[in-house]
Amino acid sequence: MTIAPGSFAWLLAHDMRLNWRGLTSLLNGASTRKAVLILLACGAGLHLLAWPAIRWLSGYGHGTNATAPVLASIIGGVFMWMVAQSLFSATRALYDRADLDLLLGSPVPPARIIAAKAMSIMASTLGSLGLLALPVANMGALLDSPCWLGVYPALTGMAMTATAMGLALSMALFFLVGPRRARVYAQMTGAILGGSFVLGAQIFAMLPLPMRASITAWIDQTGVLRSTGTQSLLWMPVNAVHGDIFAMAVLLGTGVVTLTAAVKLLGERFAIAAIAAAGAPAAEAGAMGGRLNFRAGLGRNLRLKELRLMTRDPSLFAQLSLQIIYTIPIAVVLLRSQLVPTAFALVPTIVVIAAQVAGSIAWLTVSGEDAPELIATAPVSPTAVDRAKLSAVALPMLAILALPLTGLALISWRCAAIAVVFAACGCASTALLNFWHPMPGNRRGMLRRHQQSKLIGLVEHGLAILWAFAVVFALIGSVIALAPIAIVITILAVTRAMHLKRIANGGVTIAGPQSAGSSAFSPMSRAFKFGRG
Amino acid sequence: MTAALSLVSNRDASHPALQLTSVRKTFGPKIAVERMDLTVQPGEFYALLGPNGAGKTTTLRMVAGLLRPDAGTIRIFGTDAVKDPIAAKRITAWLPDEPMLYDKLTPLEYLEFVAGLWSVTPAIAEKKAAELIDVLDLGPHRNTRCEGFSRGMKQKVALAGALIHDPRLIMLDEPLTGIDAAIARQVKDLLTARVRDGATIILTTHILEVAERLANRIGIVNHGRLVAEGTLTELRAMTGGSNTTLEDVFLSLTAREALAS
Repeated sequence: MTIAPGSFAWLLAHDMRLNWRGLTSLLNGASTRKAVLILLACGAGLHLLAWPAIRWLSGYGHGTNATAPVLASIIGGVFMWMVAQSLFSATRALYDRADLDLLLGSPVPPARIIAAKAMSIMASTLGSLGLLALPVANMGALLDSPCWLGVYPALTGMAMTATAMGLALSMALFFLVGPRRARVYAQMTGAILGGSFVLGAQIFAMLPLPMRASITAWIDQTGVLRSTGTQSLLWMPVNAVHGDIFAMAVLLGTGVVTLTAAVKLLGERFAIAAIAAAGAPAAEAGAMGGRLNFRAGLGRNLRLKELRLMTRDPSLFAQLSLQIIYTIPIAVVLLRSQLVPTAFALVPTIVVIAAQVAGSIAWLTVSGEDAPELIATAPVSPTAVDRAKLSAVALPMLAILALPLTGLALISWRCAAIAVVFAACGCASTALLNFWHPMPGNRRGMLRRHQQSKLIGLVEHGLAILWAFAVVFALIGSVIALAPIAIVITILAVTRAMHLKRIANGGVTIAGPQSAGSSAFSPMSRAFKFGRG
Repeated sequence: MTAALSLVSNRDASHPALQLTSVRKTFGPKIAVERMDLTVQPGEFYALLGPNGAGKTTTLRMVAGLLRPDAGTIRIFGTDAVKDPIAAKRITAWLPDEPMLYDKLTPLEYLEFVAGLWSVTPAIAEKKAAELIDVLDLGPHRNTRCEGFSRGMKQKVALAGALIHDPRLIMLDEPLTGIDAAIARQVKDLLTARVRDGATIILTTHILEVAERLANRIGIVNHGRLVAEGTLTELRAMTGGSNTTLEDVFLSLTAREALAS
């Protein structure tokens, strides 16, 4: 059977094909057969992992009051994550454009195009969550009760509603703050929404004890978390997952109605926004425009350039801030522990934040370099460029860490001194990792950079955690601190060796300056860099 | 500027501006450039023509220090560009087909940054930046971030960046592709003026009219080799016609080479 060109199904198939290609490129460009096999293997592995979880959960009894509050929290978190993903996807469609110009320039009605895009966003959100949630549902149905299959319609209904909300939010932001700022606001809103449950829980934990007690009492009084049998719309997802047919129908119906309404009401506006986004005016330089202070010096110029690029891109600023915010829960957990003194609790947090943020800034200066060929053709030695870029990383790090380190010094000079040393080591290690293993990409996608190399992402997080372990042992004066340090040194030595091997093979990955001596580029990196526009 | 370039030209009169000897570059099994011999004299405006994938850009990227040749030597005003890339880069400029810009910087800030990379004396850099902004008609946009610029505007900013350190060898890859006639005219006038002042220019282009009107000499590359070289008259003579256009000459030479290979 062939699908009529230009029809909704045809457009949807086109979008799904692009989604699939995106997935296979994440799997290192695997062929369709290989990608299917990898996904099946992952699915099988997740089913095996779900087995003990279901055994443990069934001890509490599925569909009982005991598990309902936990389930409600998980569903709430998942739903907010879905809304955030939909918001990100809708904004990406508007600004990254991809095929939107081509489609909107065709004689196909815009509403049909947007409907297909919305369905595609919904499918990709559902797919990424389904991969994790559906194995649990399947194993639950097999080992516990068929009621677990209620996850399928519940998740689908929620994904449809979340997509509608994501679309509505993106349009609201677009028309409220204007095309030039909407992207940044959407990124910030999405990140806050996505992490709202974690952040909310931490805010709750930070409240004074009497306030927490009164909130808990209010929740008990209103009975929000007590009954699983309530027909309140808010409880529908929990009831659906518990196998309530009526709740499943309501969830699916709500999803279909909200998504259809969003597409009908917002389709035209989305098309208008897409056109407006393409012609968003550029900003003026601001207060410092006009006369400039031409000065010699590579280091000074590179530092100034990086500083300007960072401060003028609020989305980067937001992403860096969120990276810090997401690390705060560790501090809260440690601070709330009766066993750990305040200063001891703050030191590993500062070290982790320093290492993580330094990794991000190093990535920006090396892999997110917008004009790598310009740097590569400059008459400057690669070592000088590396040094200048490292100093460009160090400067914002000093600014970020100055306040917490001063606060720490007021509590304990010894802890502050140790924190400075280990934070500097953490910064240097994640920065060097990014220098020796560049992952070329668009600056705007800083937080998504690890999608290119999940292994390097894990290594970067691992380095930060290893330094945190090391500093904890150092604080208590244990020689065990040397163990994580030795692991860090080994990891960096291996990365450096691989980097040198790549240079020797002539396959330099990014800006020539990073490749000591060769000043060479691989044509692949160039195609990648410029190919994404 | 003219005086400075003239002095340089006199000093380096014994060396060609660019000399490639048996240069070879492969990407895996694909041979991009094969035994390329090319000499460009100081003060020449040299156009490198060839079909897509012929090896023009790869050749220029090797000269710019962005690719290391597998074999052969590259000399820029007598300096070995592979052994002493820093010295070679100091006197060259490379303008790729896609402008290398920072979206969040203004043209003036971009020029300030590039001048810093090439260690141009601050006072001279400021003067040059003002001149280039004026000549390329970038004045009204000097403090606007590049993110909203058209391709032509971006190309002009990138060109200004390439010229701010008064390079003696300027290499341009398809500099006029995708820009309107008015901007193309500004770019062509600026390049011609640079050659008059003593600079050497090598450009690749698919717009044969540009090569025909601007270049002193034309080289035709196909399958990674220089298949013909000379003035337009000399090239016409090679194909046996005196009134033929460069397009006819180009098609005839590339077809002949394809048959031979």
